[in-house]
Amino acid sequence: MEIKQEELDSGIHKVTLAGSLDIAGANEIDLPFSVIAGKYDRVIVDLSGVTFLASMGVRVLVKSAKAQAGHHGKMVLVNPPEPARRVLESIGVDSIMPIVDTQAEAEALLS
Amino acid sequence: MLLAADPSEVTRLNAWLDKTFDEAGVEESVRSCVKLCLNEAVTNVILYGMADRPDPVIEVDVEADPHMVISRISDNGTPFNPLEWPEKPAYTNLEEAVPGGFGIHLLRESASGLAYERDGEWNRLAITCGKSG
Repeated sequence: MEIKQEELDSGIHKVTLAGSLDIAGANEIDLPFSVIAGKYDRVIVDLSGVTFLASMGVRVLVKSAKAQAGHHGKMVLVNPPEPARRVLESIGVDSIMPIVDTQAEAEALLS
Repeated sequence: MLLAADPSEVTRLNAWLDKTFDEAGVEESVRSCVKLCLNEAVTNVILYGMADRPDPVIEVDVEADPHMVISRISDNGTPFNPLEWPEKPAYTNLEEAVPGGFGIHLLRESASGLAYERDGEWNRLAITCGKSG
């Protein structure tokens, strides 16, 4: 599992994930996402490179979004591949945080 | 294949599945289904089924053709029938969301067939993805 982080010109924190978000991948990103949730108010998570998403990976994303919301922060998910999107929608993640197709849409939501 | 009761084993399982799917020419939608179902079922066994087992055994085998895969998981962990597990409602708002607990939901929703039996000390779960022909 690869995790890359950068600050966009808009001041939004962008996290890019690549690889398999199975239980092993979820364990790898759990601590970084705890830090992100505590440190940043506006976060974009680019999921376009996620080759597989299991419930343990979703758990990390929801836990982080919930912690962020506790200090009025917001997380937006961007461009999940179709199988990952089906998993997110099946669990209702699209009801509790935005899932959009492009980074521009995500930045607009966080502006 | 035999798996140890360790989360890192799921990575080995996924690599084995990819190789098996490639060899059998399994179509993409069936691959996604099998991978998700097996990940959820095996993760559940590893995390919750083996806590008090000194000699845990988890065995997975798959019978694959391009349009349908039947996977079988046998484990000697705590008796657990995923078909009888209560459904967790989907998320509706972030404040009340409790992270996790959707593995069995995804398994039941994705598989085209599920069969469970308790056979002595063994849980035996058969998962079907796709359709024959």
